[in-house]
Amino acid sequence: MVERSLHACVDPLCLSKVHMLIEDLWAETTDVAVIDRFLFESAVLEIAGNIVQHSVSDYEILCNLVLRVYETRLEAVFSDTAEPAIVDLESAALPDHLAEHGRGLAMTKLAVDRLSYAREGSLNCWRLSRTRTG
Amino acid sequence: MKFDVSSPRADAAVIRPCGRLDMTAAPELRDLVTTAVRDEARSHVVIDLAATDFIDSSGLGSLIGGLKVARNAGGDLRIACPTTQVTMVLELTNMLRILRPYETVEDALS
Repeated sequence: MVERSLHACVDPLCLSKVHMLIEDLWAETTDVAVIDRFLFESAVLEIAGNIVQHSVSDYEILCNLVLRVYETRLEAVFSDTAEPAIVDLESAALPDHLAEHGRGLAMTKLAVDRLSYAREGSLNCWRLSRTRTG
Repeated sequence: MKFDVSSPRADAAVIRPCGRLDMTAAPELRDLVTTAVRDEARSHVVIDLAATDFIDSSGLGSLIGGLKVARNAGGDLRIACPTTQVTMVLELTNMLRILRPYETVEDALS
């Protein structure tokens, strides 16, 4: 198992840090199939973007991200200190083709096999898992 | 994110995002399309995606927004040269019919 982690302030600049973390992960796990890389990265960045977009606060919000590559799956766990997120994963679906918003969670669900959100103590926790195709 | 903008003919604009078209870059793309269409009367817009390493749902939303602005002005927005990641996102979201990729900018302009 290969692991990378990031602890950062939640702001738009942290998205670049997430991309760099993923690039670093792929540099060590060269056997992960391209399609898995693309879909997993898309899913991780959608959740990261969701956290950034909805974490509006007077105080600094922190987020911890752990990425893991196992033999058969890819996993990401986000924990952030924002107020409880209002999330309805069950009903997240692709909107009308001409919609300009509302695709993020649906895209994430399509790109991974498991997606969950839970409030754990004072933290919002998102978990994503994608079974590797190769 | 850098955007290169060119005007190959009087009624057209080519906008080339360079880097990641995500929530931080999407507003600027919308502004560039709006400027081209409404301020410069260039209602035929081509987004050259050859240098777009990554697109997310926000970036996709900005393409749709630009498409609507262009069509409302009697024109259109087309995409050209999408990278593999961009094509994957378009397939994942069933957007290939509405944002049909062209192989070259020239094909998209014709």
